[in-house]
Amino acid sequence: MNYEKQLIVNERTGEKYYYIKHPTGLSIYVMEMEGYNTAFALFGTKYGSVNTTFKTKNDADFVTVPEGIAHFLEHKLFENEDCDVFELYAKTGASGNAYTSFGRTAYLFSCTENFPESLSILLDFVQKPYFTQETVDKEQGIIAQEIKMGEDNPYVAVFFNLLKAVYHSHPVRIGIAGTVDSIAKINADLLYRCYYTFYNLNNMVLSIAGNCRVDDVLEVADRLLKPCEDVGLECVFPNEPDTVVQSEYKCSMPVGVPLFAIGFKAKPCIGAEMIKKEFESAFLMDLIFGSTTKFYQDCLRAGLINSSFESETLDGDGYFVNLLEGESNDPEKFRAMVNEEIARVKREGLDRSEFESLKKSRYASAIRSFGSAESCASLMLNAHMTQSKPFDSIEILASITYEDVAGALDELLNAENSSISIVEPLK
Amino acid sequence: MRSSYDRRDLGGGVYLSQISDPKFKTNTVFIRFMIEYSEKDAAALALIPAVLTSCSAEYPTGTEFNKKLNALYGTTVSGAVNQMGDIYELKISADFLADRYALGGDRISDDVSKLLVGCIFNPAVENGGFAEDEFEMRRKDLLDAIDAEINDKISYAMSLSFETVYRGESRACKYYGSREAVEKVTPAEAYEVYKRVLKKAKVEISFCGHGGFDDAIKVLEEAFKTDRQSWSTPSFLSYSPIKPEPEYVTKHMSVAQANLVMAFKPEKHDLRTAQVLSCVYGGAPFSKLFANVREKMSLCYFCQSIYSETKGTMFVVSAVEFDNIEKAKNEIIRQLSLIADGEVTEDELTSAKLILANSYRSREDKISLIEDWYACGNLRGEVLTPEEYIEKLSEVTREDVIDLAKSFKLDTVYIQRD
Repeated sequence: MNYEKQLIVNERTGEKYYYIKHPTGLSIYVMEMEGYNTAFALFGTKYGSVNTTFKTKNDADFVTVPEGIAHFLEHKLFENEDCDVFELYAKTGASGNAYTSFGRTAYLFSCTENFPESLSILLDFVQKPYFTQETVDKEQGIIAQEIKMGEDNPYVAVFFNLLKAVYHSHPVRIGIAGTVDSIAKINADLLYRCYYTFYNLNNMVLSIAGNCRVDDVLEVADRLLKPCEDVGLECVFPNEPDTVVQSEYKCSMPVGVPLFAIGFKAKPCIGAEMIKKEFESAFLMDLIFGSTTKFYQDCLRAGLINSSFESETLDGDGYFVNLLEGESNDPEKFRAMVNEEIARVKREGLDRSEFESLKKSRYASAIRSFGSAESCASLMLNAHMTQSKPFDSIEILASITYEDVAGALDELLNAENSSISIVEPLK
Repeated sequence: MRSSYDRRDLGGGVYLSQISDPKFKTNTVFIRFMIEYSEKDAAALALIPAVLTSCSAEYPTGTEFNKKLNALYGTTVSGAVNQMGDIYELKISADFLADRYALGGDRISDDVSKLLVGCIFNPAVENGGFAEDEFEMRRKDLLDAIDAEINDKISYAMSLSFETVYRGESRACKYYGSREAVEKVTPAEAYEVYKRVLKKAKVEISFCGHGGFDDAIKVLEEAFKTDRQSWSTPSFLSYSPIKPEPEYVTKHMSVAQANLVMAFKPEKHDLRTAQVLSCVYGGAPFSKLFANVREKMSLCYFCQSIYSETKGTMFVVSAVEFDNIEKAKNEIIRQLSLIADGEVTEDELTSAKLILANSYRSREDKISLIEDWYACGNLRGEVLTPEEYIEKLSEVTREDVIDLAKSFKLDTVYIQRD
């Protein structure tokens, strides 16, 4: 087959990977990691729970499907016509699994031996869908139980209630597995339609790191990948206002201490712009609420938060929200203090010397991210799915300035455009 | 690639291990203090690791301490408590970037060692006890963590089941004793308990990671020099006795789904056979429980077996619809008895050994896992590399597995439901 193996090297860290655009349409990333026992492989499609409205060039118009199909497909693909995929992995010793998130579905395995055989299993079963109404009905029962298991999880509740408070109509507000009602509408025909739309190699990526050789990967890929014509896939999302839906969302569950999640809504973006915004968000939240701040220590001392407190950014196609999460006996009071602190920092500015110290700390995190086969494979897959390149992060981090971070404060932590979700103990 | 491993006796019940592999980009220092469980001291013991790793005399506030960590390239220092058999372990660890990756020739490992020595031998103290401010924050953390145990329904069910499964043994007790004890313990009382720990605990120090920590090791060796003549030697293995009849416990709470915890105990013990049996039974996606209880009968989304080496007990944990509790329970018991009746193939054994081998080999790729591997090997009295262990695992036969399955008896059924 005719294709080029590009070797991409990052001068700053010395890390390197191969990139191949395979003739079948698939993008392939391979990072050979000397000294590692484990090979970690991800075969992913840019199809997640938010992709409910789409069309291809063969469709007259956009179609909207029930929520939960991406996750349902993930379950079903493990069932071949003649056997279960886990029976195949059992013969090679690989540990297989999969996940569906908001923006993607990925099938994975890790192994310390029999790598080509395990990779053959992975590429084969993901390209061979087999659904009947009988097997779909059976899976509905299992997934309904998975959804119910989630209903007992207060961390899932506080998170998705926040998304419902922040997002009016974007599908990110719905649980990844859908609802018991939505999955009841799924049938074999719908599964095939979504499969053939999204599981097109032009929409997919193979990312492998660790104890592997690029030529071994390409030998299996050449043998097993089936060429796919680009079907001109388009996904759209409902019009989403910039503002939040409501300021507060409360519910009660059996929890010991109230859980909270505060979300600051910001404009979504893609590619390198998104990476920069993620870093700006992370620096802002560390500089204002992090463990070295007086604010954090004062709230800890006052018993308003505990060491479960953390910050993170949730972003993807059409959504970007900065989150503060944790436990508090008075979440509303904590939120008021958060807003006061943001206002104070807007008046008085951020700590420049602490910014420099945090940059060192983030540099170390970036180095660490190349420390395991799983994190390297994930890094490459995630970069591709968000229209960036694997080493973009480290370069953007190196170039980010105090002025960049300070300049982003108004947009990224706008108290006027935020919501809080609270899970209180049952009375 | 095999990491290099070396362990030395420093005298006085203090041991130092080094595990180095140039592929790692970081280093971690682990310091384990091992003593017997004491319900009287449990509240203090549960607090001590968190108190020690939040500040020190040199950095007496959380702000100053965390700023120092940021300056050390985001080094993390953490404390935890583990119960293994009869061992109560206080574990302090520091995870940091290898010096080789630092900018401008910064030496992180030396500074981290000195910081740790400060935490352990020169903690922030006032009025004869731990500094009150930081102590109270750690106490609130622990109280909140105790109250939050209910949040994760499956692990909550497991921990409550221990009260019955391990009745009369130290493992039936919470690692913190009781919530009331945590509320009452004073900074001075906790500090006295800590001083006793320093006097009595067996100490295991491990340096694990990229390497280049010779100077850092000298700092800790010097600090831990001791002429102690005696120290604790609690047992790693503490097999739980089988009850004459199984016990059934039901707890009612507001849940959407039931959690079922079943404990089985064997009449005889063989670690590697038990690991293979547990894998075949319910420890892998091709296992009996996954294939039958979940896939064929659709009774559970989650149903898994877990074998505890230190207590010689096998648990099956599942989340199940209320209407299916009895069916799931019976099928879980039936699948084990089928193995005991010989319904296990050589292919299933081979698959179990392959996936276990995969898991053991992959531990060499993660610092915390390879360190834990050798730490447990020491405690077990059998130090093998993962590859040597896999060799021994391959000797487990189908007859061994059937024989061991026959000896497992149902001990406890714990149900958490509406």
